[in-house]
Amino acid sequence: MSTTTPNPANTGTAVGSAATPLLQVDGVTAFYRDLQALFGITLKVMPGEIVALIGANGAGKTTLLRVISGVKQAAAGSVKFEGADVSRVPAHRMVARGVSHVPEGRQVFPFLTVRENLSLGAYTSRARASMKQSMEEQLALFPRLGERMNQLAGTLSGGEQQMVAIARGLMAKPKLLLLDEPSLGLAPKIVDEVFDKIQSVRQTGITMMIVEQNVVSGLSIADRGYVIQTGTVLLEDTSSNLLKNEMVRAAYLGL
Amino acid sequence: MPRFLTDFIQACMDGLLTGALYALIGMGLALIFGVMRIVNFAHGAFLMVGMYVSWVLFDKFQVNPYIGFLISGLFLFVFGYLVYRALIQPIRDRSDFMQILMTTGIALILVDSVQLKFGADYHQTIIDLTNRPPFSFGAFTLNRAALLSFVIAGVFIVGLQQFVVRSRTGQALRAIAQNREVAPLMGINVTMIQGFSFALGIAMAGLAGGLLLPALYLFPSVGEDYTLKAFVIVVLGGMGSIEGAAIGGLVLGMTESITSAYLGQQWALAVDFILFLLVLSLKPSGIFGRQRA
Ligand SMILES: Nc1ncnc2c1ncn2[C@@H]1O[C@H](COP(=O)(O)OP(=O)(O)OP(=O)(O)O)[C@@H](O)[C@H]1O
Ligand SMILES: [Mg+2]
Repeated sequence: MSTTTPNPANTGTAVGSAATPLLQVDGVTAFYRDLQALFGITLKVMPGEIVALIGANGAGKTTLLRVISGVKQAAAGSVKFEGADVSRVPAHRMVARGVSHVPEGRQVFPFLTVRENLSLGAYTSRARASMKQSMEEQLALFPRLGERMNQLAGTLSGGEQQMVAIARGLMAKPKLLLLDEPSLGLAPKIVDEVFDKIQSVRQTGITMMIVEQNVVSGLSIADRGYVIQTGTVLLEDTSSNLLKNEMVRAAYLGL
Repeated sequence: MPRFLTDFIQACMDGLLTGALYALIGMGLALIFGVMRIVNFAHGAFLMVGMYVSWVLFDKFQVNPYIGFLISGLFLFVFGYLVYRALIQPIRDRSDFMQILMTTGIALILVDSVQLKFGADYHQTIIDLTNRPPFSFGAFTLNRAALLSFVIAGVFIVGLQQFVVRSRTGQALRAIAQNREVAPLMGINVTMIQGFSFALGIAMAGLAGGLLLPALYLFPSVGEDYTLKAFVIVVLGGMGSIEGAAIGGLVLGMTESITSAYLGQQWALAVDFILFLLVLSLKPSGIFGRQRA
């Protein structure tokens, strides 16, 4: 598991490459009232890359995703998406630009059917144009949802709800998919299944940023990773190097 | 058919006719509550404004109230949207207490402004239809004006329900009601949809006000009872469920009508209260409702 195959689109993004990052976060700070959650985060995601964010509870991973997707505004610093400054763009417009945020905690619309949940994923006019085709793609990826299309999402199992949330996020036809702890609170067998699905999504070439507490699984599907600690970037390296890193092994793998 | 049975059926039918208007009023309040989590204590006051709009059209321009109610609805849609932008949106995320103060304040201002402009006099709107003898079949009679407003209200009830279930905006509105945090991540402009829902809910009160005009004496605080009734309806139907509110409206109309028939008119409002307290204490999720917008 220490070997990660770089995504095809990611080849040639070595230092000094001229390619523009898909996402560039620069010196971002964020507060909840007086409480500072982010202390100047700088990171980037290249097109086609899978980047993992790892860190302990309360490190600020969710907050960072919220700033990127426009749910929360950064107090300082900037977020650039496809080269454009999007620091002040509200969440609903970020979706239209191609950033899809699957929040932590399996947040489906409980009293809407699976079908309605998925079609809400394609709410923007950009995504709605190809809704039928995206729906078929999602059902090919998550066949189990096909049998449950007319069931209320709130009545699904935890794993199924997580799949609805991911499929719904993909319905937006994102250029960048932000996944916040997709394995949280799921039984180990279901976690494997969810990661299998994420692997399949990866094959389609979508750029992803994944927050995971499950460090091994998270890093083993990622090209690179950032270790976040109390709102700062502690370490940044390729996944295989992070998995070998003494400090990561001690702090997050208990080795 | 025995007399007691015909009396009972007659009371039920009368109740359904009024109940349709109650349903319209309650659905508006439920829509606003579902999408914004704001209890609109000014709902009856907006209804009253709708009645005055229709009355002015009738009094000054001889517009029949059964046409004028459409203009009441339209006027209140725009007015409701402006009130939302000016007064509701700024306190959207504040405490429940703040929201109660705000909507109660709006109600007071509306009632007082109307009183300043039109005085506290009672007005009656007499149209041809209300003077015609009631429509009768077998042992039963139905008031023609009430029958017409029942049909019109029915069209709007079904229309609103279909709009919420089928349209893209309706889907967005239900998404916000069920998970306001996640709705923006779908690309939904929550502020815009909330403003639209508030305006639509107020427009429903305006339509109902216009339709009620021929049946009621008009005076500035005529809407007060309707704020209470709207609460009862929404609580009966399960907070925030617009389908539940439609049924709740019909049930309230029938309950009132049966109460008036057997105990006398003065008991009707008391029964509203009793129903309200019973539902709140026995089944707070409403009689017909799971939580669903
Ligand atoms: N809504 C909020 N209000 C106040 N403080 C918050 C809020 N959300 C997060 N915080 C605080 O901000 C800090 C960062 O939280 P965040 O949720 O970003 O961490 P995280 O890395 O995602 O943690 P976890 O792994 O537990 O999900 C924490 O100290 C947390 O208590
Ligand atoms: Mg988190």
